[in-house]
Amino acid sequence: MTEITGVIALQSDVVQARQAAREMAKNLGFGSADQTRLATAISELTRNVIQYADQGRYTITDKSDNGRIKVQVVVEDNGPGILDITKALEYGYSTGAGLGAGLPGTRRLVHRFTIESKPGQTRITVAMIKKISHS
Amino acid sequence: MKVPILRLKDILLTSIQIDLTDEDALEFQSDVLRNINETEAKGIVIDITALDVVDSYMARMLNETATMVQILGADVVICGMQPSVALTLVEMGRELIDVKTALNLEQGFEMIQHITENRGR
Amino acid sequence: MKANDNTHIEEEGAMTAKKKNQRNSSTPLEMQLAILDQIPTPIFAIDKDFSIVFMNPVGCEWLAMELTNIVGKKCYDLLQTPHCKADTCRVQWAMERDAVFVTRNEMRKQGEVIPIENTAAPLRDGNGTVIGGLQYTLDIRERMQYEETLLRQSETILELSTPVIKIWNEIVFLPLVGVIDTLRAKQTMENLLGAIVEHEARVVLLDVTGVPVIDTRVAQNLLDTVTASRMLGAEVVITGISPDTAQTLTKLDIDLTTIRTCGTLKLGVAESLRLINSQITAL
Repeated sequence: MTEITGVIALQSDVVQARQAAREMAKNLGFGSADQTRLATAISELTRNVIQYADQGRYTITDKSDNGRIKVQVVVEDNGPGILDITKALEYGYSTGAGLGAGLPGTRRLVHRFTIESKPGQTRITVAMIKKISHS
Repeated sequence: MKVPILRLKDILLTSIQIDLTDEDALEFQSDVLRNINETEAKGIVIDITALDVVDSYMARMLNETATMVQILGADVVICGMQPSVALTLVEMGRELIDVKTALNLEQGFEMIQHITENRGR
Repeated sequence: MKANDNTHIEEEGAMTAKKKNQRNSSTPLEMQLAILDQIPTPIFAIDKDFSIVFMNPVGCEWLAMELTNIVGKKCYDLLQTPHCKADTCRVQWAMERDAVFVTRNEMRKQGEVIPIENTAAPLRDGNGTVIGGLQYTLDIRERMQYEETLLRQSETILELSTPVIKIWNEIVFLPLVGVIDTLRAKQTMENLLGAIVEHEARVVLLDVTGVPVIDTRVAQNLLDTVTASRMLGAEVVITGISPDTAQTLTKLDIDLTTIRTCGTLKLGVAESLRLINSQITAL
């Protein structure tokens, strides 16, 4: 199983993470639109890490099995956490200097989206899935 | 200056060719505004053909830049958005607002000339 | 080809033996047996311990064995299907729950493993007590090929049904037909944006006459399509919104004021041409 992991500490890491995500999606056979969706989602999530938590980690994994291709990305940090997950998922909610946590928008881009957050740890897992048609 | 800004008579032209970090983007914004000011340009075409990811931050930055340029009295056209990028922005709910857009550089240039001439400046 | 084990039908228990006897009493016994012998698909019966008590001739052919070597043997030893000896064994369900089960499985037919559809029912004695199981099996290779073809055809239909046509310099036309679900909406938007780039279109003429239902979701999809097209520098003209739809959408409080709409396709074409000209000529 292919897996890529990296640190999120500098702004350049945001760029690196999203490029790596796009690359993995492309190699697995996702179309251009899905590649962009995933790369954009990762860009949002990793930027949030820098904005709210200073440092974190991303892990991109090929989770394909027979019948479908799947790429999963986990973005985690040890920051203060999302105090109210429900609220964060309400459209338009944002804290901080107005950059916008952008979680509702990000969620719309991907096929799977899970948040686990408590003070001291936040982990967001997203995935893009594509069914393969049999021939 | 990471993103070069060219000048054609009284129209500025800039093409973002690399993946910008947030800092780069802010620097780009300042460069644009300074250039508009110094050259007294009537309009600027910002080409984003090479951007294959435009997230909410970049979208906001482009929106803001357009607003600031207009406050300085010039017009803005953004051109070259990739279809996947347009799709993603709309799905995220972060589409560009109140910014004129063109498909490519040629259309962008035509548009900016059309607008600036109509402004009667 | 792998058989899908995702179909099963539960029916209320079989008729009692008594009722059956009454029904067939007019047909001579020899004929009944001859009919049973000539059924062209495997039928067999087992007792509650899974020993085979009956196997018809075609069933013997499939197993490529003599009847004498079949009767008395355990069905799971001879058939060796993926469901054998597992808790998904349908004939077991049939005996335990007194119901009929239909399912897909795999079985060996004259040495070759093929996909099958198997029906399992409870077998009863003259008093109606369940004493074993009764099964018949169908070779479904042809059926599965047919299903495969249907699937591919529907995928093709999905692709073909979102054609974007260049009808003039810088004008593309998209006639939407049929039900628009989320998948189709995404596909359509992708196609359209690609076409705008390919033809360097400045105007999109989008006709929705063929879309039977335009509810909130479809309206939102249309709005998104307009927004995305505008970001590529193209203006969108929508035609074919019926009076009913106009009424519904307004009542739903959907803001369509930012979208250009025309009553008929003819007016839409005229508007598109007007937009092209007004964009080119400097006033």
